[in-house]
Amino acid sequence: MYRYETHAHTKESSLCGHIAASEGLRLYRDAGYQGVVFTDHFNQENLDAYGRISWEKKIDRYLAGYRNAAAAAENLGMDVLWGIELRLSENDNDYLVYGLTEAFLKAHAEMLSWSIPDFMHAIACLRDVLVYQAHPYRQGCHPLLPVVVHGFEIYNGNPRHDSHNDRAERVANEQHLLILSGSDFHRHEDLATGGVVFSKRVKSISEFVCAARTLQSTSLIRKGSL
Amino acid sequence: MKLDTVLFDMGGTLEEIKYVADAQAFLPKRLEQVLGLEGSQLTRMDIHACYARLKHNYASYRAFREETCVEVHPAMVWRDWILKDFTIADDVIFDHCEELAHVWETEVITRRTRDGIEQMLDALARRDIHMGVISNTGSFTQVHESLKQYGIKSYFEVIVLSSELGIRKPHPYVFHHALKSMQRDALRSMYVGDTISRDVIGARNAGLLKTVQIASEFTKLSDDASTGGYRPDYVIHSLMDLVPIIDEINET
Repeated sequence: MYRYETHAHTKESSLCGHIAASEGLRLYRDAGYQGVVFTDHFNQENLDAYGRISWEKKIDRYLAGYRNAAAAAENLGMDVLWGIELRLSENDNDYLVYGLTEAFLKAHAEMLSWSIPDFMHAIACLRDVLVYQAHPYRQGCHPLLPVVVHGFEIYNGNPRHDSHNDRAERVANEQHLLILSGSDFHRHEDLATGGVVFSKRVKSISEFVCAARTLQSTSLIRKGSL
Repeated sequence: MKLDTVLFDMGGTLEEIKYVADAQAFLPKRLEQVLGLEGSQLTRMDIHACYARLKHNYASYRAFREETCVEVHPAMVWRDWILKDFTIADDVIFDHCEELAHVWETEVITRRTRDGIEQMLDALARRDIHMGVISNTGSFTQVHESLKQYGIKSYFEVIVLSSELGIRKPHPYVFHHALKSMQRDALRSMYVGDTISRDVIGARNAGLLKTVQIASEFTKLSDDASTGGYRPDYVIHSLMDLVPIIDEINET
């Protein structure tokens, strides 16, 4: 069985990240994980913090954390993938998106001004993209009803927030949503508080999406243990 | 306010649709044929067991999409739901996913236009009514092809498909997207559909002026006790019944 982190930030690419990507990856290896999907913040505030550079350069800057981790991955024997934690300007909801390409991000400089249905429309023609609302019941977030994303992050392990995971799980079950668990890793204390367990290694984001689609509640890591 | 736009649902509204009775007899072999496979699990399994599995998996996707307003790309529908137990290579499914969706929409379900459809569309066109179609469908091509085959595609200014939007009725985005594409106003628009759960509730939440329901075989499948509180503005039994309703609205 292989453990994967699904929700992690890096010091290089997220304003609030405290730990460099390669160090984060090493910590996860030591915690018994096979891989990490880095999901740095993709929102106006975070991208603005990169300075007055072109959108394309911002995307490169955004992917710096992932790339540093990817460079360290081989020596550590780990799988490194990337997604985004997206926040659109319409509200403070966050979405974990897996399967986008660098080209898609670079081609859509206007995407932060979209609504979430606009975003779902934009990705409808892409296969192997999954969108989960992150910590939908955390204060400041508004769970989408009707739901227009594929699933909910029903377990968010970040110890500095009450994400009301029980409510997210209940609604996800009632609505047959896809489910996910993640640590929302920013600091040492967040390490390996969430994640998922797959029966085989996933070496590409497409494989991750395929495996994530069939996740059952019993394959979610909660506070470091199944 | 004058009504100048009518949007129609497709399956069950412009068309009469039915699930075929003998799908079990041909579906596994037909899917194998589309996928370009021979002797796969689809036909190695007992035909009853195979069909039961396909039906079960489809029901699972149906539950997901009915509870949410999400339409997943057909590649994922077939890989992750309907064919997930059949050990078929991802690439093979992806290469043929639209054909699979098409088979489901046209061979597992039979379709024919409702009586009087051209008369009704002609009557509305003579009244300068703008028309469009909004359909929840797993296929990118079937609705376009069917409308063309029926010879009525030119009546519609837009054809909005959930497969292209990634979002299904009853989400208001679907209705707003259609109206925006036509540059029409919700307060001058009517929606005609066969279900309360998707059509009436969706159009009402999107702020359309009037909703009309026409009963079909799918009405009972889609509507349950939870839709009991909603009523359309009008219930019709024939598409031609729309014409006097629109005249009455526009006279008052």
